[in-house]
Amino acid sequence: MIARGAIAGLLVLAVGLIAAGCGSSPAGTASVPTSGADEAVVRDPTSATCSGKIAVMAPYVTGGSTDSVQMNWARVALDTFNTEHGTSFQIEPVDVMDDVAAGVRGARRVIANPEVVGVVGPQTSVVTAAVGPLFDRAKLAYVSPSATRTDLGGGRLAGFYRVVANDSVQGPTLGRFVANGLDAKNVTIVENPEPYSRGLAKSVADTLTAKGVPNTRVSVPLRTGDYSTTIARIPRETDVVVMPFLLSRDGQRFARQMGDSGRDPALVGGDGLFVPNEFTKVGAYVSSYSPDLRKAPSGATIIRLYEAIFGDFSPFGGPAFTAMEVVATAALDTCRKGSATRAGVWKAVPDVEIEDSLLGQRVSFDDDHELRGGRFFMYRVEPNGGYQAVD
Amino acid sequence: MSAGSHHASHHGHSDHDSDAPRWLNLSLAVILGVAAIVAGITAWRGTVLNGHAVENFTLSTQSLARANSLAQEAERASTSERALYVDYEDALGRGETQRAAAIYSMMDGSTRRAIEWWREQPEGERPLTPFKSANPEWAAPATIIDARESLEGASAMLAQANVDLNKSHSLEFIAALLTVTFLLGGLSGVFQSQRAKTALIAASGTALSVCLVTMVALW
Repeated sequence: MIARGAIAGLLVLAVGLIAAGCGSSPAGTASVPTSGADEAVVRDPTSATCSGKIAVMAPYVTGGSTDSVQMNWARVALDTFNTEHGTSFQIEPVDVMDDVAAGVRGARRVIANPEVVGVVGPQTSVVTAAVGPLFDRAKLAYVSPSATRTDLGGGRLAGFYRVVANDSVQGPTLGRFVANGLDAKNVTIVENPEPYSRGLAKSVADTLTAKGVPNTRVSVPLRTGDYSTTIARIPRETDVVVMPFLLSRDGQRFARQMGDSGRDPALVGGDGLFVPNEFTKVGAYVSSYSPDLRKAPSGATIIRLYEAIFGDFSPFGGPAFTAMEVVATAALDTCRKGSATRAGVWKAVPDVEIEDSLLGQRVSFDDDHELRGGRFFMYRVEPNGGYQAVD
Repeated sequence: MSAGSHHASHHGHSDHDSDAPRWLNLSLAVILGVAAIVAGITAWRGTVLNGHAVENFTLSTQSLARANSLAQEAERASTSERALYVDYEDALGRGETQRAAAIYSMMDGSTRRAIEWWREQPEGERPLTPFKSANPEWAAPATIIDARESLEGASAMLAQANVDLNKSHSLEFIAALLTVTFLLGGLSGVFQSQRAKTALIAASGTALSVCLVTMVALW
């Protein structure tokens, strides 16, 4: 009796193992194409015909030949998305930087084009504030890769989202870096009499004061040619000068004249100075809403791709890439009968989540349409003119 | 023979009993039977994985060749479109409309569409050349991305092939280890001592268990 049971058990075991083997075999090969390398890229069959246009409001002419970085990254993101998902979304470029009138003209053109289902941009806060209400009325969602002004968020602009931290994060970041990273003993903040600079200067000063670091604020007009008077007003004991200038050329002039004066405090700028071609003071520090792509897990691959297409490389285009991913994902998620729709994108953007974004973090939006976990990053200007992340 | 000596003799006899209990023989049969099945399945699975590895190596090679071809094609198309465009603009600038038309006819469809889009842009909003990211008709980025995707696909298949090959080799090693099970089980038959038999069968069972667990883990 026992022997018969054992033999039966053996047979069951054998059949079970064979069945398991047969069952797992196809699973192991399911992802392997069977008809050659042409099928190496697995496409989502439901998205094969999805189309629509995604506007990108970023400079590609007005900013000069070197300032098309955001447009480039948005294009790389869209073409990559199309390849991976089998979609055929197209870019609709709008050449706008900080010219409000041009922004409004471009926004009206985009709104009038029924094929446009979503917008990447605008690049600057000032244009965003101007065109936001137009897009809101047209129920056209817009995801900015770089508009950081704090008052744009909070739901005041219904269709506005951004994939970068806002300025309320920048001031404390700068303040903490100066106090902890540079171990400052006495700080002078040189600001411009305009909202961006003033707001950032106040935020840095508040952070420093809270950390017990003595600080002084000095104001200097925009586009000042000669900073000698301002430099003379900076106390001798100052070991760190924070310069939340609006214009990078102002920062460059100030830094050069500071060096010429024989004084050598550490210089720290805000993201207004984060212009690698213009602010080149070696050893100075600048902040940016953009992480260094070279540090992102998927950075190496995408960097090689960018270089293959454009020849050169800018490591700070992650936000434009991610903003396009957000809009394209929303468009695909709501694609119906082969086309994405504005209404669909408008509804879908708040719920878009990108796990492994090029920003090196998970991308999703809070109730104020702000990036969850957004932060600023500090860089040092290197002798070769490049910016090196320092945190 | 006294009862005491009979008991001692019986006790001594049980230590060297050649007639092993039925359960011991049954255990040996089960262990050897399972070992035989596991050996067979392990060999079969190893062969299947080896086949997958070969298949993936082949596909990877094909995909790599395609990726290289796409990359070369993209580079050639990019160089060609730029050269033709420069000649075309030069011909137009010189007023050589026939030459310009001839050059235009030599361009591929996507290059023509890129130039058409570029020409339609207002003067102040026109990029320096048609081959810029803002031009939705410029096809080079998508071609390069396709080549990269193909290359990544090839890399993924190559990696999978290596994984399958490693698993296959490990399974072959397990199949070799299973001979230990047979050896120990077989040796148990030559010992008279029940203790020795039990020890050998236990060792055989242990070896089988290790092989079984490893095989499942490597499946």
